[in-house]
Amino acid sequence: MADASLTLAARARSGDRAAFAEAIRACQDRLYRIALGMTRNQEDARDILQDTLMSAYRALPNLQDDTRLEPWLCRIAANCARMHLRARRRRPTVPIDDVEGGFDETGHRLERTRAWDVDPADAIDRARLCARIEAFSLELPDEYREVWLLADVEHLSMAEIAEILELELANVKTRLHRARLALRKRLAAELA
Amino acid sequence: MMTCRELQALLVDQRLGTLSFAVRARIALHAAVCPCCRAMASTYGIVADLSGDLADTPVPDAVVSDIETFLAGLDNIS
Repeated sequence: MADASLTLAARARSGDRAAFAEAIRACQDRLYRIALGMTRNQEDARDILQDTLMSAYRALPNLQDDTRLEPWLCRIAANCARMHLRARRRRPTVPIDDVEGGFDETGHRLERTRAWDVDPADAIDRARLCARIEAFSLELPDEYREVWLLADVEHLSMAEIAEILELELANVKTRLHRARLALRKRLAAELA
Repeated sequence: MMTCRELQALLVDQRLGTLSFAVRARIALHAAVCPCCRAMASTYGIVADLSGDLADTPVPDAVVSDIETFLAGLDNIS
């Protein structure tokens, strides 16, 4: 019988396998989506998930009583995905330094920015846009894609992402902003 | 008057809803006279909003099965 006074983390650390399983099942969809979002390949995502489960289980003795298990597991999944990607041939990525666009010395835009002739409320337009965003997301550098994935796909807060990726809050926001600008720029080339 | 560069840098905070009333008012003033910034804010928002649809990706049964197999085999992991 589990000791109800112990946190899930403490129970898992003490060898309570049901507690570990409970934590895994509670966020298995998110862990899979992180792995899939980083690779866009189902087989790779399955491999990453297996690595994540094994790494997490082996790291249980290091858990603190107040460790929040979902961010901890997400961090392990993100790390496993990064290692997996590093082991593969580098993909070409979009340059992220020039996504801000051009401004003159007074801070005004040098180029005209146009609205897109699409209606996100229309199911066909929406599906088409999503498919393009998904495809273009693969071109983002890994450190930008993981922030975009956690923020805009998983809807985690900036604080949660900072905790998972062990980044400063300002850094999370900068990466998210640049990832969105890069995706926007790629879409604009097709739609504007 | 806020510049285009300043407005663009605030888009991430605008979507987080963390801007003060005064800053939001300055953004609105600029956007009212700058169609390029209106287009930028609109298209930036489309990217942010539609990315959430990707979370609807169903988790394949094979993945759930992988997880259950792993959890069932914990006793065998040294």
